[in-house]
Amino acid sequence: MKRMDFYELVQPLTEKLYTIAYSLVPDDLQAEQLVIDGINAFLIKEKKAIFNKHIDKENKKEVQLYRKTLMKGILRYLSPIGIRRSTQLLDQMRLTRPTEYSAYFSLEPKVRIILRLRYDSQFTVEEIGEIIQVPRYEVIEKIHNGRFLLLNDMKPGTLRD
Amino acid sequence: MIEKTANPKAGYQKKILPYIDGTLNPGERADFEAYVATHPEFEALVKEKQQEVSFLRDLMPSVSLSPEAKESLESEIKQSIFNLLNEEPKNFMDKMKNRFEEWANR
Repeated sequence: MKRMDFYELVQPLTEKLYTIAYSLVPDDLQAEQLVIDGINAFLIKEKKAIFNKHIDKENKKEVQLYRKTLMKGILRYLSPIGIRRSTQLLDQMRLTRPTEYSAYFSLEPKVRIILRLRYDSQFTVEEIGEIIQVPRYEVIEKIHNGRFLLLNDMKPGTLRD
Repeated sequence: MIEKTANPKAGYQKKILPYIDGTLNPGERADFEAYVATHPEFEALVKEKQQEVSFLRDLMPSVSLSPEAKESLESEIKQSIFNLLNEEPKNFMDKMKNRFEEWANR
């Protein structure tokens, strides 16, 4: 696959990736940097597979399917970097944590991204397991815990990794 | 011998979220809606789930990039792709081809 073709496949994912990154690091610049880092990590690790992939650009279904695979692939690298960075930035975030969506941002980073992937990005539990690289039961547990804490507006300080 | 009985409700329950997301294919959607129409208690469950999902989405930040920030981020992504997806040139022609591609897509 040519580089320009690859860029055309990735470009429509930018906004979505940014929203997911922002769920982990609620800061414009940090979220943008996280998107770049996730894509860079994906490119470095999957370079060979990208070169060997051939897509019929006229086949919309094939393009759509590969774009979803790409999204999952990029998120597989973006998520662990973001979760780690979010934990490192925790002290800073305590000072600058957004007052809006405070219940959501009080959840642990892994729960935040899982809820975002499930309820906003419409990934299945299995797909989330692949992205975050945790077993299915852990994804279900995090969804239940996160949903419970959000819906009951409880203090989630007790739910940490 | 254990006789297995399929529970149709369980199958439809699994489809509630994809239905709300709009990710069911047209055939599955029609089938789901037909089931909902004939089962009022299930319809109430779907409505409850719809409200819950909508409430959860409202609790998550909905952010969007400004046109300038989007352009800048896309430009950085493009740069990364052109830098990192660079096949080692095997000969002079490959080298020139890479340079031309980079120049053309600047």
